[in-house]
Amino acid sequence: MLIVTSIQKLIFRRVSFMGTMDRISPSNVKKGLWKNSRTCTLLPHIQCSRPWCSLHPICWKCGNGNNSVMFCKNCNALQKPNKNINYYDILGIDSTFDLDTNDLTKKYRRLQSILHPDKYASSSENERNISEEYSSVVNKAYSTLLPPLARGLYLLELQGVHLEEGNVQTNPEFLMELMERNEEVGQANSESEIRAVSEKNKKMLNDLIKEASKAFKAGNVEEAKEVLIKMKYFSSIEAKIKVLKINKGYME
Amino acid sequence: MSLFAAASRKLPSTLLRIRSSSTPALFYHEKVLDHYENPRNVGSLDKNDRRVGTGLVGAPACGDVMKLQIKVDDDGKIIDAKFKTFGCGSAIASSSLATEWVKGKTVDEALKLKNTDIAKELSLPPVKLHCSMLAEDAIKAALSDYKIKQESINEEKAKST
Repeated sequence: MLIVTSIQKLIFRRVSFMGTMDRISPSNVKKGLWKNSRTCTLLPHIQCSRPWCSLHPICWKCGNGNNSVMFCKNCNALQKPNKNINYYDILGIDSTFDLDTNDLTKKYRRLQSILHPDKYASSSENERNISEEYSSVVNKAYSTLLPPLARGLYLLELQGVHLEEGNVQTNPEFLMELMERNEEVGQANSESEIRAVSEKNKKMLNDLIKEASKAFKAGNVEEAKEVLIKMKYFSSIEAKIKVLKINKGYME
Repeated sequence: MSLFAAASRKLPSTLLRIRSSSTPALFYHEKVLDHYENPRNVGSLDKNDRRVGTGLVGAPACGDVMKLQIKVDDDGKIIDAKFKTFGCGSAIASSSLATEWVKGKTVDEALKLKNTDIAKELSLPPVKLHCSMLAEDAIKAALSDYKIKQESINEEKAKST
């Protein structure tokens, strides 16, 4: 029974990934996939058909130059994750600060439903290792792109901007405000007080997310960096509030 | 069965508590833990006092904020120091140790205090060196605030005479 289901799964995988790319089926017509049958359906924005391209290396299993980023077109073996592409490319979304997190989660789950090592329990060790590697890269990509702060910092990194350690901030007004906010959290004791500081901090973070979005849209990297630094401080307050809530046993 | 159910119901909260309370013990040196659990000189001094210098610094990379204040007597000797730090254990320990060290020193001696001394004393690992740097910067900021205060007081005195 177990063998039958795993074979079924295997067949399903082959059909769904070779099939969607090559066949004009009603569902593919609906999705518009038939228009560009050479495009990998998982990474639709990568439309490279040159086998010598660095994005499309030679298959480790059969040696074929393959068109698909994930699966070899010839032998359908799972390929190693490409080190040259960024987290946005891995998940197949536009590299912007504003993004639809539902869509992100959907794409992430879809990828993991194909890549998860559990699906390769009966495959060769090599393929299983690749699935482990790929799936962990996808996890990393998702956890980096889901929270706005991490996403913003990653976007900055892509543009070569880093937050250096040992850099000291000395804007006194802003630091005073931070001290006050931190003190408020430290003094909050009752459930209503904790909820109040939590709400206040969440609002602050939401406002900053909007500011960051504006800065990124305008292409103003320096401004975006400033806003993200502020977000860093407020998310560290957020983390303290969370610990406080856990210790007191209050639910979100 | 019911025993198992009771145990599993209790499990999540216990796990969370264990995780939140035991994390520092796993990673920090005992000197850091000592300062973290019994911080010296926590509090505030009156920042409007002419003998008080206040240093307020933040670390953008980790989101820590540190306030360090010194009180200087007429001979230029630091007679009191207080700090308030919102950050990790290493940041708290670094600033706690810094207040201990600057007490009794003159302003010029305090300026010579280096972050490497703090890091050495607390055996901070490389990833936590920036916490000791933050403490050094806080001392420098407090000393410079004190000096600026004294200069403006001296200027006022000069104007009035």
